[in-house]
Amino acid sequence: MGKSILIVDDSLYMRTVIKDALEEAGYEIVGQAANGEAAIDLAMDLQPDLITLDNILPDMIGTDILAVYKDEGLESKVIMISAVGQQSVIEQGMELGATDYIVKPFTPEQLVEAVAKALA
Amino acid sequence: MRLVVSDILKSDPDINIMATANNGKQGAEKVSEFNPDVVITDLVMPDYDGIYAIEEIRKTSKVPIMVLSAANSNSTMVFDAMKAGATDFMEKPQGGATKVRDVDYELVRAIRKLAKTKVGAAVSSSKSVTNQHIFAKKLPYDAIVIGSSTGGPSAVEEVLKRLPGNLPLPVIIAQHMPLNFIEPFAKRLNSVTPLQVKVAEYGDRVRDNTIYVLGGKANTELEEKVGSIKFKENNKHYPDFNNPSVTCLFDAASEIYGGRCIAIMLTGMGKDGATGMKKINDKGGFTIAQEASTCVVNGMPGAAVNIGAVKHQVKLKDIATFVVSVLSD
Repeated sequence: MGKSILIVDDSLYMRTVIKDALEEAGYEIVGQAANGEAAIDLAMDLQPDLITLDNILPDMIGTDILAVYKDEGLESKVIMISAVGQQSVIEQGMELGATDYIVKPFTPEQLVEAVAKALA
Repeated sequence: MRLVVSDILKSDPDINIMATANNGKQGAEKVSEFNPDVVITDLVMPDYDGIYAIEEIRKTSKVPIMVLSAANSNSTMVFDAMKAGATDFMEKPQGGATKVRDVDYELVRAIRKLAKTKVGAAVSSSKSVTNQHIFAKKLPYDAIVIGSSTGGPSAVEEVLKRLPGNLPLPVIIAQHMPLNFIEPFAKRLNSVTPLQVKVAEYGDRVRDNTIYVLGGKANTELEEKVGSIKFKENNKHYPDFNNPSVTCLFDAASEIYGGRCIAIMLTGMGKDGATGMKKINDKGGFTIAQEASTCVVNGMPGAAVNIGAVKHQVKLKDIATFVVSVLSD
């Protein structure tokens, strides 16, 4: 039984790429969210083992979502995906409980490695 | 020709010629019988041709198929071969000792690579915009340029078929290829991506969300006129390769786009494009070389890496995602 993952990204393309890569690596994608509201609802509903969280969403930014996860006591591991040169965002994210982060540009392989490391 | 090809391949201890055939029907039968790792076929053969062979083989097998074809072969046949499911193709040796040796090396390398290739199901996509991405509001780059040679056709296809249909940039490809293969190549690419693919015509404006394959009658550069960027004929002779020269394209891209350019070097023999890529790299452009282990021949990518022209080495299957992710917020 593979570990469960929730993918959060407003881009259908990215969600598809990430889903394919993680499924190929043996993980189970239990949900996909395209905005912050869904990211929170689905995370609390599904309690996945891990969440991949793109930082820029149409209604919220990743660090705010992390703050909500923290408040709600969510135990899921979180990997933040952020654009390059956003050191302060990354630091904030880590302080709010993100397990790890990936900087764009990235390859699906790098994400899979980060997920494996986080779930080890 | 069968004898020449056999001789070339026999030189490699890992390549074992299991069977030969002298027309498409015989070829298809032998594929069923012997279940080879790779098939090499001519296009023009007595009674049953290469298209027949490929269609028959593809009914039951996903074996990689290399088409060896004469340089002046019928371009419709070449397109049909690709549509029927040929994996890659190469020009037959034209004669002259040096050229034959080059082809020896290329052919052996290409066959070895194909033997490891898993032939995926043909991707047929409608022209409706599929698999959309949310691109950054302020894009850091204005164009994508790609250079490739040996092994390029399938490598280019692998990249293009993974690009989202709403890509807001133009893509310009310089693929080393005999003149009459280029139109069929563009047609084939057009059928595997939601984006429009066409052969670049001199005087055409370089449009966003469009993919261009450079033609083979001359070299192609870019010029900026009245605020728009257009393809321009270039008749200079470049030392590494011509018609199309990757160096010519990359040089032009570095002048027109400066650092606001993504340059990708895919598999290929030789070193065409390396110095041009360095110009783009030095201006701050986003430079990617296909990672060596995924190349049919690591000549061109390797040469670019060796002169410090490359920021990232990325496996073929990851290149499209990598590029899309750098165009994202």
